[in-house]
Amino acid sequence: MIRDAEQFTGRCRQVGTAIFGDRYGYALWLGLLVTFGLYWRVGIFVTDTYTTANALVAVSNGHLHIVETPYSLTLGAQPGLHEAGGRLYGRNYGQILLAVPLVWALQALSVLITPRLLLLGLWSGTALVFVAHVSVLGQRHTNVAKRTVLWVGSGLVAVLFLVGALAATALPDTSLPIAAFQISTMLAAATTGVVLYRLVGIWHDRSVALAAGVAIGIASSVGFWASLPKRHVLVGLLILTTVYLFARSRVAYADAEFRLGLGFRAGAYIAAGLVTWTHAFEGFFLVVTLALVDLVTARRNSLLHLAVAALALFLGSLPMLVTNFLISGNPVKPPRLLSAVGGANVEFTPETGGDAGTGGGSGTGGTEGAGTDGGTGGGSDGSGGGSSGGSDSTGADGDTGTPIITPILGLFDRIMGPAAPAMVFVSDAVSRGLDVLATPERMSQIFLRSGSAPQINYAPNSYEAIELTMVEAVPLFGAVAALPVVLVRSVAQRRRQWNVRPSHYSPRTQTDMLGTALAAVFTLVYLSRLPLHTQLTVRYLLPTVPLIMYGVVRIPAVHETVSDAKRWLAGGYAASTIGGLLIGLGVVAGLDLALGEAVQFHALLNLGGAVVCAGAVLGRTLVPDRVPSRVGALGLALPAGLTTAYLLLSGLVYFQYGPFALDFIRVLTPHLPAV
Amino acid sequence: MVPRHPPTAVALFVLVTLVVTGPLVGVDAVRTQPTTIGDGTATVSSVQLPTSEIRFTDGRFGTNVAYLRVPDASVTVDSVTGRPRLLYQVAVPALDISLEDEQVLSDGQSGTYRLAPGDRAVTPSSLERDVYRGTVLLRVQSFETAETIVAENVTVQVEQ
Repeated sequence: MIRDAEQFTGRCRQVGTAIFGDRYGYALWLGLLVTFGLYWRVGIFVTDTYTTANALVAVSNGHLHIVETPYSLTLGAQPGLHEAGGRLYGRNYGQILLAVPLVWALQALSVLITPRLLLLGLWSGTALVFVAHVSVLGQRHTNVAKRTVLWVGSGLVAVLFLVGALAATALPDTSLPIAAFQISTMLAAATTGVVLYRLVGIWHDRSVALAAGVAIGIASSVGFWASLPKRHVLVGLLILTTVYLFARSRVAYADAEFRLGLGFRAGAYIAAGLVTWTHAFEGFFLVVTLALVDLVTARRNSLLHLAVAALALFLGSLPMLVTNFLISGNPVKPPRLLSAVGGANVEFTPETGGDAGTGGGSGTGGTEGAGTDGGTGGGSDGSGGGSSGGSDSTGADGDTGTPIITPILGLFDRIMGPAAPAMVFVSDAVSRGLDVLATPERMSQIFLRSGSAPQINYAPNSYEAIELTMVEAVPLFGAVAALPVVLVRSVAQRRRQWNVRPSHYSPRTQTDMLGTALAAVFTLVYLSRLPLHTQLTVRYLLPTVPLIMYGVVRIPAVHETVSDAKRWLAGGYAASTIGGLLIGLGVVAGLDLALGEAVQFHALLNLGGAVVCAGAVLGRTLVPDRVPSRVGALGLALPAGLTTAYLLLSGLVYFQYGPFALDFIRVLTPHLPAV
Repeated sequence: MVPRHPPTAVALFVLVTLVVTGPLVGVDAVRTQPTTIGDGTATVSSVQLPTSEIRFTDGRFGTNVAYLRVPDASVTVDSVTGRPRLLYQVAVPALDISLEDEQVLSDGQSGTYRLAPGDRAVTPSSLERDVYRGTVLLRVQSFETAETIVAENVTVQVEQ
């Protein structure tokens, strides 16, 4: 019995090490979850979530199509609602299926525990484990005794739990699925921190890695979206995981451990393939970019290695193919390509493929099958019409009885159907993105200063100027100003060894290449849609945020500063966070700000932080002798703390869309000023 | 047998509390307060509502809109029974604007409450007049009663 328990504990420890790396990674993950919980509101913030939340309830009840709509009054005319064979479907099924086990877990636990106290209990439990691990780490690095941290931390959690329990407000059972959905995004956001911690940890010391993990979690826009169940955080996590596994594979290849390298390489393709399950087109761009960089930089491209990579990609895409097949009968036709219901616009999808076939496909599911069979067999021109016709004919193919060939032809045709408009769409996304690159004014509204951008229709936000630009949302990216200098230097260095092929670059350079390529591609393909309303932190570009953060950390002036002046960084960050909170609250109360004004005030404050950050990092890069490392550390700490302050205030004060998950926070908020 | 490890002790306490107060065991130690309106009454003893502060002013920090500024109301309530709510509503009918905030009260929860409907952004071009007519309403409502505490017509200045 005891031996079994020991074995089980040992196994858990192994799995934990594989995921989190070490106790620091685990503590980081727990700490991020605890922080996200503080400003977690149970409810729906962005309208797109109505469809996915309704779809989540459907899937947790065992079917893919939406029948009941616990989160909206009526079914139809919601963004992201699609139709196939007379049934209504959501989208982003990969993201939804990730949350389904959580729905079941919460529902099962709610038999024992009332929903509100369940959320409080989960938070308290996480916080206690966090305290336990921090106490060990605290003793290792500071003079604080382990027992002190344990007693103070546990006591604090106990008090918060008691306050929360005594002030608990009722939470209806119907809130559990949306809460589970939010927890799944929080898990993804916290895991993004861990993956960045591990990726940076391959090249730099632990303090740098840990700082990067904290920064991506609570000093970037990832933290803003942590409890908002949109797909972007999850896609960002999978992209970063792809980069991490790629890095490990390059390291293993460089050490001539080819089997291990192949394993990680396959892992990278699985992670990339999985993105298609949530968003097929983002997955497409990820896979193509990964494949290009991978083929160029791999030490070994033997047939076996390529076959394994291809198989891994297939495995990673399999859940998507199966889901598509179940929905539309066509494995390569994702929900986003199906006809949209209610005319609501579908972002980032080909416009021809789905809509052309809508009229025919939507009317009658039953009769469609008979009529389409001929179309499927004969039509090789593979337009939208052909594909939509094919979508309902799964049964009909079997009925015709022609062995093997007809079904294969039919399948091929169905695959080609969505492919043609999809290809047009892909090339359009790239070329239009390039056009935007040449319009400085528009680039400035996406990346630098928002204010009230003429491009954006503010009506859906009730005319509130709440759309931040990239640098306003993540002022740490001011450090990117030093990137050109760093690039020029490294290119100059590379020119001396120009005859080295990319496959023999250092694994670090190879990883930097993939990160750069992915950040560029995922920025470029969305540029033509930006600036746009309901982006808040340019959420379409959120998947690039972890990649850019990685790029910022890779700047020598940044990672050297962080490891040289840890205390200045930590102290500066704490001071800047508290200062940001006090300034924000003070200005909201003192000037009686409205929502848009408050957000724009933070935008200007953050821009100031970004300028300081750019100056410090650029100074450290150009004249390292004149700029001491503690100045560099403060230059990084200032924008990071201001961002954390904005995240907390946006959750606690500015954006109100549902009750706080934790009632000890609800009790606190009436004492804060309101916008 | 109390565990020596403080987090474990607190975790056990949390777990026991949750299960004991849960639907299966059902000890009535922790009651989750309802947040929706029900039957009941409340007596309002004093109201602070500076209606003269209701006006349109320009947005700051580059927002490029005008705002209908609505001050917070501070309402002191004593003797609450049941679950009535306080409702504070400011409307400018000509612009189709209605802002409101509510506070559901619970049995015995007397005290001072802040009602903050917030401000409403409008495009500057939609403000065609210098003065608009507005209404201010403060009520105590429940399924059994509806009492109007404040009902006022106000003139809302557009300040440039």
